[in-house]
Amino acid sequence: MFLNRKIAILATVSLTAGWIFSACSTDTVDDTQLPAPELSGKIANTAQDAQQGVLLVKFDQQAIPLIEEHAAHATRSDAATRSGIHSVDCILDQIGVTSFSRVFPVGKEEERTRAAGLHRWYLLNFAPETDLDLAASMLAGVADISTIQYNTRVYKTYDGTVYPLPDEPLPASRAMTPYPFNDPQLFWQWHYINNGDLAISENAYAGADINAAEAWKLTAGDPRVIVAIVDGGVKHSHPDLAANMWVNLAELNGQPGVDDDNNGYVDDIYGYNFVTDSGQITWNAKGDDSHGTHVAGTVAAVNNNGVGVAGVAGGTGHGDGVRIMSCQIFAGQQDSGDYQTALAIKYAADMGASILQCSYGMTVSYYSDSQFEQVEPLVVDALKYFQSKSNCDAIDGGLVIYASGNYSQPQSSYPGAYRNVISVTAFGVDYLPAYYTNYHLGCNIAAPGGEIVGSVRGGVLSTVCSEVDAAGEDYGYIQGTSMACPHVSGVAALGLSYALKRGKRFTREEFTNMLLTSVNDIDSRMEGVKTTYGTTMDLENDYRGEMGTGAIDAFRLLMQVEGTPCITLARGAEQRIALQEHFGGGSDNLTYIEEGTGSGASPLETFGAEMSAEDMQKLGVAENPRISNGRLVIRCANAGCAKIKIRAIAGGKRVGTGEWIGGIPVVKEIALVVRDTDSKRWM
Amino acid sequence: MKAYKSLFMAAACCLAAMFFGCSKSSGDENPAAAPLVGEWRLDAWNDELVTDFSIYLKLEASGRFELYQQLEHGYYERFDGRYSADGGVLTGVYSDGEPWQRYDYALESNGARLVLTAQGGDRIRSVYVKTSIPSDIVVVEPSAALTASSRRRIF
Repeated sequence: MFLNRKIAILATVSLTAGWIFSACSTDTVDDTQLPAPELSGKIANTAQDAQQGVLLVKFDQQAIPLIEEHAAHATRSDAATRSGIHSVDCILDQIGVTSFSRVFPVGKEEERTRAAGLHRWYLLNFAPETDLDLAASMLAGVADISTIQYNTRVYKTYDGTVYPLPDEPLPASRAMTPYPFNDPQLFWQWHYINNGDLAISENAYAGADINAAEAWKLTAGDPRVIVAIVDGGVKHSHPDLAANMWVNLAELNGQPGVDDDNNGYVDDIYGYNFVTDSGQITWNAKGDDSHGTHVAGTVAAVNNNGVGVAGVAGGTGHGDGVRIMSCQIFAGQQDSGDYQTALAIKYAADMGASILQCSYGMTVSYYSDSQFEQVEPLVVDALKYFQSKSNCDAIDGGLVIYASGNYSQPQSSYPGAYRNVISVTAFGVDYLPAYYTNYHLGCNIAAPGGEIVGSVRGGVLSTVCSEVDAAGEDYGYIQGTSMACPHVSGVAALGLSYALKRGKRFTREEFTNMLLTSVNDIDSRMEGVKTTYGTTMDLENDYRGEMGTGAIDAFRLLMQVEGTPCITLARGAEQRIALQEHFGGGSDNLTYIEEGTGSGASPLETFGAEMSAEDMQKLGVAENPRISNGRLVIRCANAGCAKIKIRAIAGGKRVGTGEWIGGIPVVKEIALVVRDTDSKRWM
Repeated sequence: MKAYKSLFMAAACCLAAMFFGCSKSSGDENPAAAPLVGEWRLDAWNDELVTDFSIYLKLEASGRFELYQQLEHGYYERFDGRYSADGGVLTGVYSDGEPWQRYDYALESNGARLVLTAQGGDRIRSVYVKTSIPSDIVVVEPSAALTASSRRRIF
């Protein structure tokens, strides 16, 4: 049987085997590049840094009925260790498999699970001393098996540092923008409302925030929107989080030790701890830290409760914040890997989350989405499952939002770099790129991540765990793209909340388009250099146009939810129309593309805008409309209404494909209203 | 009690007469506009139903108007000023002095439809239907017509 070992060398690219998940806060970074592995066609990754005694196996569809038939009729112990397929079981015997079970447990969403093919993934456990490579290559020889994946460990490189609140009185504010909630620390949360107070930082720049104050006038959340925090455990008893925690009532009111809601998980009241395989979410075990709790607080710390801080979508103090679900993939010093991560993602989808908030990433440098898909098939399957699941009446799918990474590298970390997954870069209180942020390839949008330089006040202030915080406090500062990411998740949650309020529903693509174009210009400040900690950043040449579409603006998103703006123009003369209302404050610097093209080399180049022949005739458009210097150029001879389609790239100058890392294509269909007058007023 | 009430009503009528008299003398009253008074929604423009944008027009008996347009922004912009209807022609001027286009107007369907035909150009027709302006529309005043974020960037 050992003769079946047949390893085909697949990868000629530098594929680093030990991809390392990292909570994306800025501390120690292990970006060791490992040598290229040799992979079988069926073996997705390598055994480098994989959990011993575990393999993940995906069977061909035709094998599944046999396996399930066996499981239904075999004795309990036999069913738990063998597949029922002779050729497979021979190898399971040789490997000494002690447990054979589905990766994703049977639950309420079984039909959907099967439709997505997730029921084909199986988990094999065996003795840790077994040669992992040998076991994988033996399984690779079985015709019924299509994919084998090692459970590569995931790590946090975040060291748990939380910067405590300085003991200083609240200074007089410039108060250009009022603070709408009574949370005593809101003044210090410049990332929501930045009045440019020097008390926060001598570099504080008014407007370097997410424009929360304007948005909160319209909505501050909705409990029907659930955000899954895929991270360390969220301290669900935190005084500023407890009221906004998602609660599984069936388990809360059920019997301890019983899977009361038949979802495959026992006692999952606030989420699930996939590391310990327990409903007990942890945050104060040895090796735990405040990362997940800090992220959760940014999304939805309870607003207007007279306590601590505010959250982006934390409600108004009347039980109306969005809900936080803790999907724990980091716990103490225990092993965790792709298996636990995939479980967490699917659990979030099945239990009602609409937004997957992921402040972790891999330090490995993948070169294309195809490579990522090949090496990470289980997680990719789970991500696609989440995106396809509609858990909120305002959107027909799930949004996945990742931190771009803290390595100052011109590429987003994966999975954030993966196309159709939103990758978030970080800017500081000075409205400039944070010194640590990744940028360029695969980065889609920017948000406040903070910079703790000189004063801790330049960091992002949120909830932390007093049990593991050195100062024993419930609040503290952290910096990182990990902190930028939940700002975008929170704004997305606000957008969904507002859509619910207004009775609107969007496709996932439509909502993503709106989210990525609800931005303010961040590029115009990028002149010269910025020096932090002795490191000089060439803003103009390295970062301008490379932080994504711009800085997220919550109010702009709500206005896009409210209605799709038209373009009004006077007939007759050629018009050059700015596109800020449609593509955000950085629209002049975006790269626009024609349908069917993946790249637009420069925003200065001219590309066509799409208009039907019928509409062109209707408006008397003789020459094809085009985008030039970021402006729509068009001449209409007739008055009337028609549609025009404009495509831009959210992040970078080319669209991401399977072959290269790039931005997300954003398509806007805009109504043109051509009139006899150039007045912007209707009458 | 009844006598007091009658006295009060008479006084009120006198005051009203004085008020309207003053209005008339300053051009505020416009009897021809009376049938136009009310709240209107743009239903069709240029012979097409309006679906991509939204316009509400409030014409007051005092000669004031309020215009709410959701056109180039997600929110409604609010403008106001004065209008006049005379001889089948509707004119107006915004509070900052910018004039409206001039329109020929006609009421249809027992006053439920207001048809404005622009003078000049292609004489484009706008059809308004009588309605109530929804109370929950998001309005940004003209002075703040730039997005809030744009304003914030100024300082």
